[in-house]
Amino acid sequence: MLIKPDREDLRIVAYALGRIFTVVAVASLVPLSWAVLGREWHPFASFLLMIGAFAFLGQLGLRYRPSDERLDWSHGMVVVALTWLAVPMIGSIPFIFSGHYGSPIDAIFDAMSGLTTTGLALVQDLDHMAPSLNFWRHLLHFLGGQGIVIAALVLFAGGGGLTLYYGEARDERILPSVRSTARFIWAVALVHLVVGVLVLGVIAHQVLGFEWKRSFFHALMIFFAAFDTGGFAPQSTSLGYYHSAIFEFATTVLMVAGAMSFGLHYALWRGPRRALFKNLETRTILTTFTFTMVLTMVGLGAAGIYTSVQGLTRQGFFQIISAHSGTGFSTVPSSELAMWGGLAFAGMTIAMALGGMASSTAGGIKALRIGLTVKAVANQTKQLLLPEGAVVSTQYFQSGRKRLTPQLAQSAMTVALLYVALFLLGAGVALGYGYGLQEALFESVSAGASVGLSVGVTEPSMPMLLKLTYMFQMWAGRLEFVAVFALLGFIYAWVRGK
Amino acid sequence: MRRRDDRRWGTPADLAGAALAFLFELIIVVGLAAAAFLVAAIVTAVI
Repeated sequence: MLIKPDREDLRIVAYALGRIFTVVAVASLVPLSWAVLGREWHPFASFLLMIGAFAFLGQLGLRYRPSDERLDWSHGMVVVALTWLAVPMIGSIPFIFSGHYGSPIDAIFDAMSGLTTTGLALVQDLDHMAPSLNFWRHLLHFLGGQGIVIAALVLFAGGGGLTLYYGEARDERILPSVRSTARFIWAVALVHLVVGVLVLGVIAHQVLGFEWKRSFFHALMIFFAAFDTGGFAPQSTSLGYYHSAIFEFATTVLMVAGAMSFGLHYALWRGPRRALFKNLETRTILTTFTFTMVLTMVGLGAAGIYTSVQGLTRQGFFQIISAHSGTGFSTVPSSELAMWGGLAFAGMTIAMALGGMASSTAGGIKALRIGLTVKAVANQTKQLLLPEGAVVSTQYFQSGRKRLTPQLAQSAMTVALLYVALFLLGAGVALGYGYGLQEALFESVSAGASVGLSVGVTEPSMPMLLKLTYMFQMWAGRLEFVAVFALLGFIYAWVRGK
Repeated sequence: MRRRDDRRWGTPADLAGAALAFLFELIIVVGLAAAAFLVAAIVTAVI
């Protein structure tokens, strides 16, 4: 029998949401200050409205203090799923009033794309957007990539943090307490922010000839989008705007850093460092990076799109790192990307679907799940080939020796299958509207794996149902399904439970 | 789960660790770029 959530359950969820909305309201003061400094009064008014909405909902939630604030598993998952729905909706207010979007849905689409670190965009005339609004688009990447709920964890103590942490699709608790883990995640981000912005800013000034202020504005935006594997860029031509190999190289380092798990960052910072290349996840991602890169470059070479070694290296390498890390920066226009048929298309699509490491800012199926699935299949095959009764080792190395249990293998395969179903959903809807199979599949994988590369399907004139489907894909794909199912179960129990 | 060190941050060892992390990221990217160059050279020579 389904148990209907009672008033206390609702109070627990509302109170936790209230705390998170309050944190987002405080974070939103940054773009507001930016608007004041830049004397951008129109965006200032819309930021004020947005902050008011977050603060109002935050205070409303905090009025419903439950007798026990401790979140259980289902409460935490519901809170995370609702947070990732509500923040893009309220966070889109400045976009709605900006005049850069054809409809409120387009504005919410971009806010969802920003928060989920996808990078698909429906913005119009981006090159003339007010800097404070452009900053807000990129700050959404940072908030989403680092985890809004993680931010709340750093600021508020309280029970149930672990369920919120896992709800935001993070599998690995690096330090003994969730709060210290959250602090470490933010410390890594801040150190990368200082170094990344400095390096990109200096390159923009010295190599591209930008004035200092403009250099650091672009450096900050690109940092947010690269380290949080987002993919928005301050200009409509993405990274192609800079026409600089050194700028692309520095951005690539940040994309790789973003696709690395925070567990790996911890091992690098504090050890043990000897086992870094022994980890199943590190080996898997290096193999898939190389495999998809070879596939893409052979495809590009065969199609005769890039004939020089330099051209093929630069385009193939950058695009595959962007796709595999789940960032979505592009140095070629979407119309040119659409011409990458055959093996190049296959390489890019597979790279996007696989994604980065678990517990990183990247989306997709994730390297650890791929590694575990391949190992489980290999073990099964070995078992079949060996004499009856022979024992096959089920051990694997991931921050220490571990055993690949049937439950672990099943869990990895289930999530991988759910991702495939999610990719097919978006592709099916696009096919229904008459898009070609290749572009329908590419764009759907891009949305579901939080990548953001586009072959031209995502544009303001695309069908409304397709926009809503991609938004659902971004949301479900970013949260890795568990929180989404928990929310659906919670609603079902509320309606049908007794 | 194996318990890990939860001491204060910001020691010289942490700075060295952070520097090592950047070096690791750089090595990975340079390695992949070198692999890409090699593949591109073979592809353009063969096809």
